[in-house]
Parts: sequence; C-alpha cells; structure tokens
Amino acid sequence: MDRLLAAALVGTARRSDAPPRTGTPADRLIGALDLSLERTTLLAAGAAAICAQAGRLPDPAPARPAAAPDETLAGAGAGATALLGDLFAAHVDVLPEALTLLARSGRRLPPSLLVAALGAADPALRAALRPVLGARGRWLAAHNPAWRWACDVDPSIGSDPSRAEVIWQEGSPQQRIALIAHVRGSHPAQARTWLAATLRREKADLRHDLLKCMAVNLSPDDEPFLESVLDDRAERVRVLAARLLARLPSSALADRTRERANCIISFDRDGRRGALGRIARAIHGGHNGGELSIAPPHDVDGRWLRDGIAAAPQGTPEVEWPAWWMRQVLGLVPPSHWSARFECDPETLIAAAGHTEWERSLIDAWSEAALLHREPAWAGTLWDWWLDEARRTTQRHEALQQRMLVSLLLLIPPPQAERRVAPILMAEQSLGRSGGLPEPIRRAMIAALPAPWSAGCSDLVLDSLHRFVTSRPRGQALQTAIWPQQLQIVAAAIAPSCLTDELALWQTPDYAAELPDREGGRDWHAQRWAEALARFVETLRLRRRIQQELAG
Amino acid sequence: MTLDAEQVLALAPDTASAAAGRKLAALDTWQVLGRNDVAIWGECRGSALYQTRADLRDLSSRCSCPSRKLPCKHVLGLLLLAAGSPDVVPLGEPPAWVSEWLAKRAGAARAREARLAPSASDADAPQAAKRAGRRLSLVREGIDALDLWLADLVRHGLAGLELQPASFWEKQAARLVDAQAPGLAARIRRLAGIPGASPDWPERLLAALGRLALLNEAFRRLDSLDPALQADVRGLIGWTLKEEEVLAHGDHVRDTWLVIGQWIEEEDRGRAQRTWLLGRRSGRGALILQFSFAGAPFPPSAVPGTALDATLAFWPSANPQRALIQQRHSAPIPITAALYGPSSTQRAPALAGRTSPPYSAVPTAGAGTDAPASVSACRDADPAEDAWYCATPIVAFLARVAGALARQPWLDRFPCLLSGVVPVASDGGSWLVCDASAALPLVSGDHWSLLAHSGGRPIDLAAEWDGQFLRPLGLVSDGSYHRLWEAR
Repeated sequence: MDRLLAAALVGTARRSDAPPRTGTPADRLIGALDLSLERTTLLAAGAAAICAQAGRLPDPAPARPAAAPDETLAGAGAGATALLGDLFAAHVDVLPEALTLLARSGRRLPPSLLVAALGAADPALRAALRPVLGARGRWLAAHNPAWRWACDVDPSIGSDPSRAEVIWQEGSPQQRIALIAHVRGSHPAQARTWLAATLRREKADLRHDLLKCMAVNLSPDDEPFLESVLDDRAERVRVLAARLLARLPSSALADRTRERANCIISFDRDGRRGALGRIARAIHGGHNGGELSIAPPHDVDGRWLRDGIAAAPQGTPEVEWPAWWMRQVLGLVPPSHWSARFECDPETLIAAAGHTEWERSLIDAWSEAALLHREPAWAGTLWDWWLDEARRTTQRHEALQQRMLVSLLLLIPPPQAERRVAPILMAEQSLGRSGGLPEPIRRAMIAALPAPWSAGCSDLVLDSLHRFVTSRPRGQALQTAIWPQQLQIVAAAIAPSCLTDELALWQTPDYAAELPDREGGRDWHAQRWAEALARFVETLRLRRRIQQELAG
Repeated sequence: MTLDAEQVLALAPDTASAAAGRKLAALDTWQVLGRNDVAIWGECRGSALYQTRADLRDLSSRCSCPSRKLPCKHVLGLLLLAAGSPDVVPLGEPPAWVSEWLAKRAGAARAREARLAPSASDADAPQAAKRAGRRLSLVREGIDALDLWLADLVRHGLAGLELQPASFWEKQAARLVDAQAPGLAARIRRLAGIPGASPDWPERLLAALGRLALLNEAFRRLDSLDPALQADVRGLIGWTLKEEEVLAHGDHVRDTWLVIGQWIEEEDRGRAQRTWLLGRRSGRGALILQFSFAGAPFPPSAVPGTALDATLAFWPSANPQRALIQQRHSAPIPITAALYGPSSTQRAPALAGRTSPPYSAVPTAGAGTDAPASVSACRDADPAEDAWYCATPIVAFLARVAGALARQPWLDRFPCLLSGVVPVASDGGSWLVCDASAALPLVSGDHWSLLAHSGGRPIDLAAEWDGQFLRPLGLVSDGSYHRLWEAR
C-alpha cells in the first residue's frame, strides 16, 4: 500500500515505474485486465483497501482499570428507577426530597442515572446525591475530573490510619482537605497534630482551607495551636484563627477581645438625663429604653492585628477606619455577652442602637457575631431589624440585607422562623408595591426556610394562596402577587402530610383552565399565573408520587 | 402492554413531545380508556377532546389532535400511562372509532399485498423495458466519464486535492445524478469530506477511490457476477427497489428479532435512521434503514430493546442485510436478560419465558403458512460463519466481518454484539472496549453511560462497526435494555 499511496499522491504522470502490486491474488486478476496504469493503480488500491479492512486486527488489549467495588446499598427497584428518571429529566426541583427518601430506605441510584447525577451543579442537590451514588457512582466519579465533588475520602480510612497518613502526605490538596475534615470528625486531636506539624509549609490558600476544618469538634484543647496560628503571615489565616478562638469562651483571645469591646460600648439603663434627654425622648416617641454610648477605637496596634482585626480595605477613607475596627472587634464577641453585661434583652439593646450614630455598624457587627456564635436569641431580633431595613431602604444594601436575612433565618428555630416568614408568603400581604420587600430578598427567604415546612405553616400558606386565587380581583392584582418562581418554592416545601388533602383541593379544574380565557386570553399576567398554577399542581402531585413510591 | 417508559420515550420525535407526553401520562387526563390484544385507546381532555389510539403490534398510531408530530404527545402519554402502570388500562371492547381505524389499516395492508401481484399489464412492458434500456445506457456513459475523471485524479496526484473547493466534488456528483446513478453520486459527496480531515487522509481517500473503481469495474462485468452480487452492485450504483420488489424478490425470514440498537445519522440532505435487528433462531442480522427529509418524523419501525415475532423481507444481496418488516405476528416484548445467546459472561436464555437454542443452523424462512408463494428458500449457510450475531469476542467478530466482505466487498457497516467487553477511557480522551485479548476503538465523544453501566466489569455490548470505530448502541443490565445512543 505504501508504494501505491506514494504513486497516487504524486501522480502516475510523474512517477510511473513498476506496475502497482498489492501482494494479493488480486494482482493476477488486475493484471489480466490489461488496463491503463491509472486504472490499474485504482483497482489495486481498492483491492488492497478491502483486504486491509477484512484483515483488520484488533488493537492490543490495554490494562483495565480496577472494577467498581461491590455495592453495599440495595438497588432502587423498577418503580423508583422510573420515577427518578422522570425527575432527572424534567423535575430537578423536587429531586432532593426523592433522593433523601431513597437514602433513608437504604437504596442507591441505578447506573443509568449516574451520569445525570454526577453532572449536578447545585450544592444542595449534590449533598442529597452523595449518599445515594453507591460504590458505582463514586467509582465512576473518579474517572472524570469534573465529578471530583462526588469522590469523597473513603469513609473506611478512619479505621486504617496508615492509609490516611499516606493520603495526608501524598494526596492532592482536595484530598487532604477532605481527609482532615473527615479525621477531625472522628479523631480531633489527630487532625490537630497533623495540622500543627505541617501547616507552616503550605501555601496561604491551603493553610486557610485546612484550618477551616478545625471548626468541627472545636475544644479548649485546640487553643495553644490556634494561638500559635495568630502569628501566621497571611491576614485571612489570622482572621480565621481568631474567629475560631473567639468561639472558645475561655480562650485568652476571647478575654482580650471582650476587654477591647467593653471599652467601646457602654450602656446607661435610664437613658440620658436632663433637658437633652427629654427632647430626645419627645422626638423619639417616649423612648426610654436606655442609652448606648459608643467609643470606637481610634488606633490599633500590632497586638490587635495579631488578634485577627483586619486592616481596613484599601481605599477606605481614614475617617471610616474606627468604624471598621469596631465592627471587627464586636464581630468576635458573643452578643449574649452584652445581654449579660447590661442585664437587658436584645430588643432593648438593638432599639438603643437605633438612637446612636453607629446603628448600622453595631447591627452589622452584632449580626456577624450572632452568626459566628450561633445565638438564636439575638438572631430573631436582628432578623426583624434587617427586615424593617429591607422594607425601608433603597436597593443599595440589597445584597447584604439578603445575606443577613437568609443566614440569620437559618439560626432561628424553625417554628419561629416560619412564624416570621409566613406572613411574607401570604399573597394578600405582598400586593402593595410600596412597603413591600424587594423581590429577590423575598424569594431568597422563602427558599431559605427549611423545607419541608410544618403542617401548620403549609396549611396556612395553601389556604391563603387558595383564597387569593379563587377570590382574586381582576387584572391589576395579578401583577404584584406572588411570582411564579415563588410558587414553585412553595410547592416544593409543603409538608408531605398536607399533600393528600391539598391535591383534592387543587385538582378542581378551575383557574388553570379559566384564567387564560379572561379578556380574550391575551392577559399576559393571567397567562403567567395559569402556567405557574399548573406547574404548582403538577409539582404537588409529583411529590405525592414520590412519597408513595419512596417513603417507607 | 409491555413496553417500558424508556422505550416509549424513544419513540418521541423530539424532547418537547417527550416532556408533554410525560405530563399527559396521568390517569385523570383520560377517559374511555381501554385496550385489547392489538390496540390501546383513550380520550384525552386537552383544549378539546381528542381520540387517541395506537396499534400495539407496530406502534403506529392515530390521534384526532391537530399536531403534525408523529407520534403526538397524546399517543406518547397514553403509551406512557400504560407503561408505568399496566393495570390502570382496563381490557375491553374497542369503541367504533378504534375498530374502524383498525379495520381501515387491515384493508390498507391487504391492498398493499394485492399490489404485489404482477399488475403491470402487457401493454406497459415494452414501455418499461424501453425506459430501463435508456437508463442503462445513461448509467454506462456516466460510469465511463467517472472512470476518466478518476484516472485523471490519479495521474495528477491526490496531494493537490486538499485545496479543492467543495464544488470540485459536487460538480462530479451532479453529473452522476444526471446519469441516474445516485448511489455513485452519494459516494462522491462522501469523498469531499476526506481530504485534510485527518492525518491519514491520503490513504483513506485512495482506499475510497479504489473501492469506487472496483464498483465501476464490477458493473462493467455485471453479467459474470453471481445474481445476488449483481443486485448489490446495481443497488450501490443507484437502482432502488420498490417495497413490492423487495417483497417479491427478497428472502423472507420469520424469526424472533431482537432489536439491538437504533441511531439516527445526520446526512447532508436529511437524516437516516438505522435500526439493527438480529434473529434469534436464524442468526441473521438485519438493518431497517429509513430516511427522513425536512425534519419529517420517521415512520414506526422497531423499538430498541424489544423482541418481535415478525417476518422480514431482505433486499436481495450476496450478504443480505437491509430488510423491511413484511408482517408482525405479535406485539413486541421487552428484552429482559442477556441480549442474546451464550457469551463468556452469560448464562440464561435471552428472553424470559422462552427457551430456544441461541441459534439454529436451519433457518425458518418460508416455514410460516402465511408466507407468500414467492418466498425463496433461505440460503443454506454455515452457522458458524453466518450467525454473526450471537455475542462474540472481538477477534471472532472481526473474522465474521472478513467473511462478509468476502461475499460483498463494499459493505461498510456491521452490527455486532460483543461479549464480555470492558469500556476503557484513555487519558487522551479516546475510548475503547476490550476483552481479554483484544480491543477496538469507540467513536469519538464521551461514553460515560457505558462506563456507568459496566462499572469496569465485562458486559455484552450492542454496537455498529464502520471498519474504523465502534458506535455503542445498547446493552442489557439490571434486567432491562438501555439505549446508549441519544439524539443531540
């Protein structure tokens, strides 16, 4: 073939040596035809190609990768497989619920759904997927770098220290972080010893990520190590160490920070006396909840910086530095410290903060501190403040407001959280454009409310929604009512126990069919509503199917 | 009704229809729901009341909705409903709008069979012979011109062809269309894609040109060829057979056909759907090749992952491969265990509840009482050579490819059922499957589903081999068939 190819490439006009041969019996046949050199060349090439195709040898077998380990979980079963296939194809929003039930019954995903599962990007969905991937899923994930999230450290290493040690010494950064997080859960001291021995030698980003694992099982035993990390070269590592130490009430850093904070805030329970106080009370409508005095630090020294008080970001005007430092210090002190020190409740202190020029800084810092120290008592009151703020102000602080409202909500015990968010959910409450919450914030909060909601809350919301839909005013009202996306969140969060009854209610073939026809079927909002309602009902039905197929 | 949801969804003409069908697969959207052995029906309440019915034997369907998709979402919903929970569709007597439709279909089938009878009157015969003679001389002239053109290419060398515009090839293809040799024209169009496409393009181009030259030479000596090979050569040049002619002249084989895979190839002027079947007793492979233009849906053929008792009529050929379904004898049933026959990893008979040898040396063609008189006896063949289609190791499969090429040298696609192969992804992103001693490369792209199903263990894989790469089409695991090829 090579000689044939060479001749054909340059052209027989230029290279016409010996008649082409294939070395097969075809040569004799072709020769007998007595054709031109070109035709002979082509026929020989054709014969050679067919011979080569017929004589195609397989490639040598390569080394095979190790096969997937045996499964420890049961298979999903035919019904669940079909249902999950539907969900992966068209209803990812209710997938986490189904996966949780699947995991609870000790089952795993079928292989046919693993590729779709590993392609998931949403963190919540990934968390729900991890327990149901099975040995096959974790094995598969190891073959594709994009699926690394699914190959956790093998849980069995906890009982095999030598293997863990090898990963710690030789593994990739992700593997090492996952390993430390895992070991920290079961053997906190071991993880600390490893970190203490090698942390200095790592790069700053990795130091930070490794140190984050210390948050698990934090104890006073960790103080000496964390105190030594306060001398770290990188500011973000120091800040992280300080935040960890601040969570240890008996630590020296907690003491130092409390002292600094005590110098900043003082409180007079009886409020300002004298004429000025009376004027203030008159202006603020009889306010007599006491008075906060704030003295922000005007300079900080190296010891402050060592204790995780970050320097103000570049470009911050010098006049704003004291407020910045103050927020850093107060953000480390548990808010309950103030309730105890001034012997009053969070409401009083937060109200008093409103009468100082430092209100925003104080609330910012207290909110950060409530999040750091996970204090539900303060979280509720602070959340109320942020809600008022979000209703009041323009969009300038929307991102911060949303972050605070969502993360504080997660600290509040679910029944109280539901009591706070339910009114926002009610359609009637959200009609007016003024005084309403910005749309993204409202949606974020509804989504943040831990699902499934309680039966009570679910009923309340469904009732209200049903009332609104059945008695809705024509035209205008539809524009500002709950938006379709929110309806989807509601559908995914309704308590499983409410699904049966609600289905009967929503099945009534009314709104979905009748809405689009109103005013010639051209009402865009009505159209949106009808679609959203149809999707809402569909999701409720699907969730009912999930409960029937996967629960128990 | 025994199709599963995956198989029903495989019928959907597009994803939108599949999604809409899923929504309609709820009991409360249907009334007058029923089924019997041959059909399923129901009335669906949409923006109006639609009457939906499907013939379970070949999955053809009809719906009174205005949708032009085939099957429409109502049909898909109805079939999905039955697939999800077979018991919700009660057995019953079909209403008039169903039985009338079935009767009409039966009538059309009878009419088609009647057409088979030689109907051309004697008066037409001279006319037809004259037309055929005219075409033959046109084709001969076209092939002479093509040979001159080919010789020119070789005389001046292939090296310069990389720079030729598409029109260079298209012009020659158009000449062959004028010469009424569309098969050759299509070959020329395929040549256009070779130069510059890969490092070894000169070799591939020369091989393709050589095959083309051989075809021309074979046509010149048509009379000296075996009649079956004559049919192949005429078909490759561009003489097409009407369905009636295939039914009249081709082998008829009744068998339990396993539908091992299906895929749709985008071609420059439309789409080609290839459905591969293999006969459980005859050991034959069959290709149902359908074309669609301008996005039209494909007519119903066979659902991958099912087995159907049917009589196929094969296009006459030295190595019969392309076929059409002449008659279905029962509704398809899903393949549940191993795809087919014994293999290195398997074990049980392929179909639950049926036991028969993996293949038999005695084909059953013509055995059916309903077979037309014109059925020719199935060629006696050595089963070891001819029964390609029982799952095999890679080496044995390639030996069968060689055997088929010896009979029909222009074959370019081969169905295969490889036994006990393991998919392997190389670091470079290319994939292959291997058994204990050999490996074959897979078509480019990711094959994660295949890897997920195998878990690194040997599986039986249904695939199509094009001489260079394997295209995985399906496999059976966890007791059901899984399609591996999906439309974009």
